[in-house]
Amino acid sequence: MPYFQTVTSEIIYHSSDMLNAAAKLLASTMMALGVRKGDIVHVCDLGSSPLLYLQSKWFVSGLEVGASEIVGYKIICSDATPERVHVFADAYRIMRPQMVIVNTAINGLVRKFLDDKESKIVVAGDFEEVGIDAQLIYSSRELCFLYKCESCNGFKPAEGSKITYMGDRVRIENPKSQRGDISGILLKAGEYCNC
Amino acid sequence: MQLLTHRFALILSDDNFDEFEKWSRKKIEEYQLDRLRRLVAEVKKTNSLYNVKLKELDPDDISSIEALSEVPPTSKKDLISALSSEDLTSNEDQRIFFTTRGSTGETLVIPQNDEELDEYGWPAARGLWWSGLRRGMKIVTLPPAWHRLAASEAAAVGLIGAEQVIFWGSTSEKYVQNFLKAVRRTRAQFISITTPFLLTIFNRGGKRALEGVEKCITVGAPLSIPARKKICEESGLGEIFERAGTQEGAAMDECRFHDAHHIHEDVCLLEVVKMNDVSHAAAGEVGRLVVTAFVRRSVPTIRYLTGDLAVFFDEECRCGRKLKRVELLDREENIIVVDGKRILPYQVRQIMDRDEEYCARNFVMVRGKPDKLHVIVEGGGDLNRLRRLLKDELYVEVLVESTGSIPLRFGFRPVINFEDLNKVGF
Repeated sequence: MPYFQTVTSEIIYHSSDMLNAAAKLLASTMMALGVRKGDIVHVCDLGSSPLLYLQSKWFVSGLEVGASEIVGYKIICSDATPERVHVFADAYRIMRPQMVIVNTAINGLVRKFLDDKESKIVVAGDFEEVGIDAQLIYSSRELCFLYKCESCNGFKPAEGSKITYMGDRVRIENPKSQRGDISGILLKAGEYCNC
Repeated sequence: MQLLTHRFALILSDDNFDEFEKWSRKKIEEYQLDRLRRLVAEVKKTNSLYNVKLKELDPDDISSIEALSEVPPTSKKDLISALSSEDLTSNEDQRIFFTTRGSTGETLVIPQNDEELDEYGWPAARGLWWSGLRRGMKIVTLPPAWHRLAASEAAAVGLIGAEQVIFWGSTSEKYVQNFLKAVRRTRAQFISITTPFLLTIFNRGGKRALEGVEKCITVGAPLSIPARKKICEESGLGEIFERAGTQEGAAMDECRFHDAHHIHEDVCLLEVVKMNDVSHAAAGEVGRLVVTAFVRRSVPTIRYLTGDLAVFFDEECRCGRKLKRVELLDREENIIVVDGKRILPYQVRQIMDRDEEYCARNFVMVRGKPDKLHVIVEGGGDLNRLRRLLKDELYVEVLVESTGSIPLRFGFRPVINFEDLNKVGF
């Protein structure tokens, strides 16, 4: 069974059930962002990010089906460090992804190769280190995903997550018992979607 | 839950993982011949590049795997020019795309389907078993999206029943402390990382940084015997096993004798051809590595020139396995010509590793001075002595500089261009 280090260096354990539930949440998030079966999605994030490792059953032992396999899209994988960004230019000459999910650290570098507006760019990151331009935020600890609503510009959680308010605290509850206080995430991300 | 299809009967003894590694040479070659015939038949029907290349080869007439040596090798340029976006994206099977490093100036996009990831997971498990990974042990693995090898490894860990640990970050200097925290907090007995990252941990991670880690599997560059010894003695690491593989389909692992890599000949056929023509290099002679992947894929690699420099060993390994052995030395694009002589980082590494002060030290070679070998090392020391050592063994003029206490940010590249010096922190 797999162990994961979060962005804050904490070591956490996710059971196979938790990983499978989280992959479903990621799949519904990807669909909410507009990804469809057959699309090509380039996920430019660190290999340790749940945005990447929950994409395919081949990336983590214990995950039975990843988000890309649930929806049926194709993924280009890159360990997204500034030193490796140069290879993306060649990759985009050969295949043009419908969506590029890019972490804030390399957002500017990747955009240089994507100036023809054929690809939808989604800026993403763990809430602990994401910038204000984020459209998709996740918690590597709770495995929750929130994406920006195009109507109200507030954040909404992946379909299947339950949000509860306790005074000024906001809790998220995912299937298979991932629970967490996401007040900090919302504080950083901005308003919660009220559509 | 495990993903991998059982291809051979499992043995799971102290020494052996499966029955394939106990086969005779004759049986291995019969198996390869059968796979080769099926591969040729398939790609002639489905791939226009190989339909031309293999025109003279009738699958039913292939009587031995040697027949393949008549086929002209395929370069990266051949593949890139023959590949269209349609080839890559029209096949519904192809779900995951990895990119090569772009170290030759062009990046190849390699699609992977379930069948291929499944096939390569099995030999990855065989290699992990040889290094001693067993059920219940913890292994910190490479970041999953880094390479096909990393994806194969996750499936292999699942097959063995070991516990995977994924650290936060990537294999660069910035994440050394994260990696070490993950190792310590999970008490992982195994780590699987790249050789440059291991060297960076060794040089930047502090004393006894890997105390308690029993085994390290490294990939990406060869480590000399003195370097392995020094790393183990000073970092507290138990033992180092080298793994090698390419996105294009080569797969190899060391056995416990650490005497070059055994080729996983169930999934690939490797050849070494001479530097200046495409005839086979003799055992012991450095040449260019050529891979044929038996696996069905939408970008087939048949007699593909990987860009690696390698050498075959023809004597049988002490472990008794009949699987051929090869050592990967370096990359063709890393050759620097100085005063008419071809020099590789591998040669510089060997010389430095024989010296106690410079053994296992990070360095880069700088391309740009046609009459002088330019080497930059991390850390201090007697640079003049190192210059003399290199000059005496390589017979060229040498310039050695040091970054002092600043770490080299060299990523995976042991050779950089002069105009990129600022990118490595110099």
